Amino acid sequence: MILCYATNGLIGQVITGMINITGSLFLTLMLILMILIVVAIALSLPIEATSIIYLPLLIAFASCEADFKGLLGAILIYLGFLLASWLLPKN
Amino acid sequence: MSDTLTNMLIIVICINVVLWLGQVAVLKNNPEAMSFINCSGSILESSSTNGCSSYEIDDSNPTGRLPSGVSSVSPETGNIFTDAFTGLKNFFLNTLGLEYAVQILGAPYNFLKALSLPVEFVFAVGSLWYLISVFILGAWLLGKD
Repeated sequence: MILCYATNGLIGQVITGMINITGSLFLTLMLILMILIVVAIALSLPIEATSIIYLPLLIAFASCEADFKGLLGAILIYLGFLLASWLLPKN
Repeated sequence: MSDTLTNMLIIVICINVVLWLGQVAVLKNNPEAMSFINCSGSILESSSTNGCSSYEIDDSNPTGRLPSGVSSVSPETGNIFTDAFTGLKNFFLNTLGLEYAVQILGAPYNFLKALSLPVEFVFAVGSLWYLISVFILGAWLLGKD
């Protein structure tokens, strides 16, 4: 496992503590992601607005944990459709 | 149908570009991270000069990328319909390359397979896209707009 966060900072210590609870880095990062998704749903944020947070977050997660490949791919394919919808010829 | 084919092509190119940019971002973050899509072998390679090795757009011969019709039509062996069909087919196969067509047809299958999704899901979505797009591509080649 590649250590992809600084262990000496506050966030690093929180992540280290959460790894001790969940048992793996993947579950820890997934938990953080799910909490952010719940917050976005509670605030009724549109998915286009939340992707500005999720995309860099998932890129960072996927560079640490290969298991995030599917989730990163899903959001990238969605952004590809979004980009295509802007570029499609308007009739 | 040509509108649909254009839409499908734009969607495939946009998804390919965004996926590849995501892959580049992941590898910039961590060079030892997983790799799920490469520029070489993708639809992006057809616009590159050196096959994705130097990331240069091949803009040296733009007219060579446009379709050219068959010069003459023999009334005994051919007609306008086959002439247009031959012209479009030659443009697609010789100028863009057969791989270009294959990449449009099999794009979702390759994307989803690269993301390690369940094979049944990949097969179902891939075959849906393939069967629809091969029909639209055939209709476009035959001029049935």
